[in-house]
Amino acid sequence: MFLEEYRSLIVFSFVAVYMALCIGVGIWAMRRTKSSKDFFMAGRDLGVMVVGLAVFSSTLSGFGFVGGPGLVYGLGTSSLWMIVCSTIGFSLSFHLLGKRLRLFAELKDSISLPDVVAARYNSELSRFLMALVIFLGVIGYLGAQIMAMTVVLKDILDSVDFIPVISIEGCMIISVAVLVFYCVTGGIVASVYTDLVQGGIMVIAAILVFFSALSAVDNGMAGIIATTIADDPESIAPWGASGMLLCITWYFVFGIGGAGQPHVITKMMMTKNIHDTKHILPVSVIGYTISALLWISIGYAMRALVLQGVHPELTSPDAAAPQFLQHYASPLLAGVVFAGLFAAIMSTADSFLNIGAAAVVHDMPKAIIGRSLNNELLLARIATLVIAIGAALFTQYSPQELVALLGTFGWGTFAAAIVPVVAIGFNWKRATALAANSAMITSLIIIFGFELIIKYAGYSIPYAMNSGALALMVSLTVFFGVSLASPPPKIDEDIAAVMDL
Amino acid sequence: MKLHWLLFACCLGMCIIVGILFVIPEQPTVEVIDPETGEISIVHRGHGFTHPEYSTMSVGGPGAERHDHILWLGWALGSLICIFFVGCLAFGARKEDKVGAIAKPLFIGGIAYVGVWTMMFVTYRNYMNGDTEGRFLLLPIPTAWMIYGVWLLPAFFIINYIFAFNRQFWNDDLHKKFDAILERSRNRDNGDSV
Repeated sequence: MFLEEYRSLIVFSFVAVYMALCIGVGIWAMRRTKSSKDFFMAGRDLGVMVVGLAVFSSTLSGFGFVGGPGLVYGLGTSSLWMIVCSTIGFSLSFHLLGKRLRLFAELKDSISLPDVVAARYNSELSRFLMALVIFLGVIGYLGAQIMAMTVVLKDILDSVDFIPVISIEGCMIISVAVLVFYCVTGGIVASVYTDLVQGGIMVIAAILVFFSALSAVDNGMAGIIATTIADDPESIAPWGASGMLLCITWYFVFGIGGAGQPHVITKMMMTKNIHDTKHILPVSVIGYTISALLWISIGYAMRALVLQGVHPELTSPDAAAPQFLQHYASPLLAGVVFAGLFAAIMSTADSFLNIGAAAVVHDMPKAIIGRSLNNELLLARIATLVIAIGAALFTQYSPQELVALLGTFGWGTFAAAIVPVVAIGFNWKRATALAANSAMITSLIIIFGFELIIKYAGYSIPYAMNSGALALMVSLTVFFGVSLASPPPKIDEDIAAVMDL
Repeated sequence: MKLHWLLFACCLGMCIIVGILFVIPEQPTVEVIDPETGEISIVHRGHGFTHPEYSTMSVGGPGAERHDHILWLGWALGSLICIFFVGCLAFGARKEDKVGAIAKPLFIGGIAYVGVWTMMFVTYRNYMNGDTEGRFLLLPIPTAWMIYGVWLLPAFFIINYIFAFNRQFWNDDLHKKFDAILERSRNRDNGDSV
């Protein structure tokens, strides 16, 4: 086919256009960013589609394009529990925080999550701990996103004939440069508008990929299911290869854990109008559900194709998506998906950069010295640059054990540390600062503790249950228990009044 | 019972069940002999093992062997999670500590949710014992309960949220009350700064 000859060039072109778009959005957003409130909160002026698409695309990240299909290929139905929880998960986030976060943010003119936590619990220690959790998570998560962008970019550039071979460091510099440019110039405004583009690309790509995947396998979905059952009935049963308890713990931590992801819930502080929340929820859910089709269809199609002997065995599960795009998708579709992949990774990375900068420049100074710094907007831009470069260098040059340890500081740790304190505590007057601090400390100890004993003592959690889920169960129990065992707290009268609305 | 006690009880219940699961040995197990040292180690296969032909895939193996002894504990854990989730929806919907008109639809939705969860387990029990022929909309029956039930049923809570929003969550009256709180707060802050 004519286009097949130019596959690599087409993919490269789509990615280059997307990166140019990010730069353009950064320049446009710079004109709208006049203060640290604009930089971190977009002036609290965002509409339904922007927030709706930003919420779901921040949630999905590059995992939905590469890691997700790989998990389905490798484990069957097990990984679908990360998607199956999405309907109840988004409902929980909006029921618990859609209104509360926005009201608290406006009442106290807050520009970050630790700001609202400090206001709720009247505790600078709570602010500091929240900022610390976010900062640690940012370094670990951001490093992983930067590495993912770098590896994908290198693959794309290496396959284009007229481009000379660029080293991995060179690819990292290019990726970080584009990311930093639009984050530094446009702050969260650039971030959410690139999320809007990303969300749109993901939805379109998912629909096209879904039909491509079904047509790649003989007899479509029925063929995929028949092949999978014939090989191993459990891999298409509800629990897949990984078994019941891992799946149930994933259901828990990915269900309610969404209400604890700082890069997602801070978007709820930015809505123009609380009334919009009832429209934002269905937009997010529908966008996420459609995007999940990509994850499910590629993973199952590739598993069936390998089992049928049509496709050679993959070198690793993460090769499921790239191999599918190379062999079973038209070059144009592959271009759209790769652009979507970049968009997904960058949208998560830019959200983390923004909240990381807020933690360093706004929250920690307030917690330690009791006031904001002067020239906060300028410092925020500098911090964004320093954090991005720092995360890239950390990932590239630190001992892999340290990188891996912080890399585990992912969804589960945010969930365990933030869900009790924010999602529950913002709706419950009985929650105390002591309980909030205890929950955050407990979650950090459990998550890091598990990782250390797994790595150094050879221990493995029974039934491969997810450590983040276990930490979340314990931190929630600690939060409720300490609150109920403590005397009722004295709450700021305005906060208490808003909690009654 | 106050809602926070229900949520606390769910969390405690989850921790207790997980604690029990930590002491119930995983099944099945196989003995693996290291070809070099001759050392025998026990490998748990309850959470899957490498496909005999394709090393990048995992398979579950016989479902009954790995799940029969813990199936209803898994059901109990999941049911507590479902109740906890619905309780949290009610928690977020409260005004002045009362759940209000939304309580009934949440209660009905919660019963349905646990019901769907239960049906997934009941049908999976048959599936793991060999009844793998049945299909519903292309999927094996227990997987159909998972995808069409567990995934899609919570859309009811989303629809409820949309239609109950003005009555339960936010409306012009609440907006006026918030504006009054905001003004009082700003005046107090300005008074303090003077």
